[in-house]
Amino acid sequence: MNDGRAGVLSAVREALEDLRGQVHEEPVPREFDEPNEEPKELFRQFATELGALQGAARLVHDRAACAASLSSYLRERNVRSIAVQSSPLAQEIARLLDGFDVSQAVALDRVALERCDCALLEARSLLADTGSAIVIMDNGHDRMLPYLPRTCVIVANIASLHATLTPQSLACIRDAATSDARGEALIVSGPSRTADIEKVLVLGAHGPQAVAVFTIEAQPAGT
Amino acid sequence: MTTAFDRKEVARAFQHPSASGVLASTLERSVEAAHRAHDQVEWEALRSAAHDIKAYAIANLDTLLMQFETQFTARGGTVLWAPTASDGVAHLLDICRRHGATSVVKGKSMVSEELAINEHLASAGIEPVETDLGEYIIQLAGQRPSHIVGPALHLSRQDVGKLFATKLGIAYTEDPEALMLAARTRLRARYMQAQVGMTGVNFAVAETGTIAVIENEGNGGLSSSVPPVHVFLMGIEKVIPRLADLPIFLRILARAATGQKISTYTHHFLGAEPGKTIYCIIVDANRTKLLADPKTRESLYCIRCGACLNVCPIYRRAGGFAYGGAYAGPIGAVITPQLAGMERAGELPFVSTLCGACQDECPVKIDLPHQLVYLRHKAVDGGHARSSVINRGIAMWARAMQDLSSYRRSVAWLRRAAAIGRGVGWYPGVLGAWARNRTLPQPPKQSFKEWWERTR
Amino acid sequence: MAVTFSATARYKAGEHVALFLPCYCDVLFPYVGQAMVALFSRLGIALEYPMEQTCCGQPAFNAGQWDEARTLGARFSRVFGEYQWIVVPSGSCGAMARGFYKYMDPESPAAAVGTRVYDLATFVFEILGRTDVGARFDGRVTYLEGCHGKRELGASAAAKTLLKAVRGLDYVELPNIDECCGFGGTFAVKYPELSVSMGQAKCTSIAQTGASVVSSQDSSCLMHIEGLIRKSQPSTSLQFLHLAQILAAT
Repeated sequence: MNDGRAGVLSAVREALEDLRGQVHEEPVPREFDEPNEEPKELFRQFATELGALQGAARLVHDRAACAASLSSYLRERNVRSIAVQSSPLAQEIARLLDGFDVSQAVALDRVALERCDCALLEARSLLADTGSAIVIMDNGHDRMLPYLPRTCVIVANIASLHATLTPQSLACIRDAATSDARGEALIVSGPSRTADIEKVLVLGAHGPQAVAVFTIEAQPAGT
Repeated sequence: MTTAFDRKEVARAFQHPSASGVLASTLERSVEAAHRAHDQVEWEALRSAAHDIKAYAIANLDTLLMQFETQFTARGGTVLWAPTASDGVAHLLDICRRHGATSVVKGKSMVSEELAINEHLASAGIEPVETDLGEYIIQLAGQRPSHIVGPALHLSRQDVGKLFATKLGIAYTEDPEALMLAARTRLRARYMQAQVGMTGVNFAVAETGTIAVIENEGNGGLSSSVPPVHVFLMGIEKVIPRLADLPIFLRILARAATGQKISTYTHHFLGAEPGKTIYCIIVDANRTKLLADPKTRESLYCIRCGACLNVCPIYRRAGGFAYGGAYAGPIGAVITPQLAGMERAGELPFVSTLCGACQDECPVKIDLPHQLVYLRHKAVDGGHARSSVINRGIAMWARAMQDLSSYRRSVAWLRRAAAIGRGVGWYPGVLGAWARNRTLPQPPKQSFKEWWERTR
Repeated sequence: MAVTFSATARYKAGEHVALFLPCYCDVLFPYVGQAMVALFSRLGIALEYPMEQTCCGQPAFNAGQWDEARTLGARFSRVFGEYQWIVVPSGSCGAMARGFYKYMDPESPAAAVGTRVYDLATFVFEILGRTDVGARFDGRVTYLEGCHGKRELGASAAAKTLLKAVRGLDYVELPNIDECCGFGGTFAVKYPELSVSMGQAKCTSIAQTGASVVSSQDSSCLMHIEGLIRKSQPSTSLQFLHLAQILAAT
């Protein structure tokens, strides 16, 4: 099936004949300044940017407070069923929730996932100046989570908050892309949207209509 | 792929004031949003950096493609090479047959339009399902996309409302949110049924064998995650050297395309997890023709943001269909003649004033106006220029300009033609084409040369 | 490929300067050349006019007929070869000489002579270092920007600065000044429906300024816009003047 390989590569080489023998220096990756802001200031910026994208950001003191704040958010949205990503922080927050129908995403097929009201995911990195969360998903069930339920909740530690999109803030993607990890690293920036009709913005296109990011300030003792 | 610049489409665009008016004003808003977004960053420095990375990637394309293949394969994927468009189609059809697919859910892909994947799938009995709202709309309408980023921007909300009422049997509405919801509901079921999902590729990272796909609706996420098979379809030019290059492109792409700081979803695909099968079809389909000519090589730096279309005064008026191919606007006028053949699309580079607004706007600084004028030269040299009357006129003019006495004879002749024309109220040929809508300036009795000779 | 002018290039008194007058100006707009002569004379420079000059080849270049363009480029280099300074009251012919001879053949004599060609605005502002040329012009003036002058030569700021420094002149910026007027050489007659539509948008912008005079460094763009306006409003009081004519006025 791969007899086309030689064809494409030889055509490319032939096309580049005039450059043969010339040395092409690989451009040095551009350095970006990462302002050294206080975490609270970064969070304010993150919340503003995510708010501008019609997403919500909440700063919570610790994991218990996160679960409490999340519960009230979910009740406001009439969420009953939640599917949880198989990542440590999402799992721990899910355990602290009370009064919801909580399932492991890995235990659900695509039809069952579609029926869930809410996805609960963990961000490995947050980007303040774009209101973005980076989620890494290593199995096929988790990979459907950010899009199928109508509400998408993401939890993160404040230590993962970065000022902007830089090689440093994308280190979690680099780690995944240079290890044996499979699946997907997703940078999600607010609820899904479209402007395909007359450039009129509509939220909640094929993915969720609501995205909320809960950022936890305090680390549990011993970590 | 059809043929050269279609003047009937221009006429149609002019006769459909609602559509062309909508198009012009939505594009103007896009440009304004993009300019506001440029101001948030060191735009010029980012453009230069992006240009340099692309220049490096294209100059080392063979090495980087092989590196990408090795890494993508190590991550559990299969690379399939397609020297021609039909090879690309054949690979996809093979995949569909092997996995027993009766339908394919598709994220947005310009290569798919270029290869007419939908037509080929349909004739093989496999249903193509476009999932991007704009693509879904034009698939229902039986049209082709008119814009790289906004495929259905030529349609008004009323057009879409009528289309959905007829094709989906819903009550007429022109509320974009209700229309989106109708599409969403219908497409959810299609994701669940499909065996194969297909997306385009924004950036393929050679260093890691990983692939970035950027979108706003979540349809790319669903197409790539729900079906058990995911096919990436990409042109050879999509490879970038390193993961560290990606932040630059993420900063410029959304800003140039829509004026967003970042698109809603930047997927970074890391390879096949258990239960998933992934393929990457790498398509040449005449891209190596663009590559082989140092004067057109830069057109392969394109990141398909659509900024050159948004700002182009010709595109704004003629609309996308006039270009007759998958790619419209300035970048379409540059690449289509090479991808589809000069003999079919050699006229496209002529439909431009060479104003250069596209180059100012391009986030990777492609030298578009110069490539347009260069392709005119190639079209003339190859005998593919269509306006032989004007070409012959210019050849005659150029001969006359080669010495002063024949210059003077030509000037005298033009004077007479203008005077006669003014007398009878009719001008021949190009003078007539000018004079239909504009007054023709009357040459004063004395030319500058005559004045100079008399006064010096 | 926008050309950047070397800051060290400066004109020294007594050096010869050749006038390169676009061929269509010779026939249709001789007063542009006359204004150039008057303006430079006031600036202390006696322009020389190589009588042998005809056409720089730009129409052929833009039409893709590069054989013809090369022949005329070679001729240009012979006619102007002896001059250190060559000034042209046109952005598009300036771009042909300065940029496109080189684009076709980087090593050609035309490319070399082309580096000594400057558009009027750039020559006065950058090479002579003048802002105030001693002109007086009473009226509300807007400026129609030629795309090649702006994008290939970077002459935009120079032209506007010179206009604004004219005594009595009330400069008003054209809305959407960056947008092409739709002339485009043979484009204007090959695709008249597009050309006219673009020109009409420009006419609307001009009307919005309330200007009594439209000026430009390119008589070709001006001819297109003037033609459109006069066709629909034969008795218009708008005046269409080349930049040289305004800078020459006293």
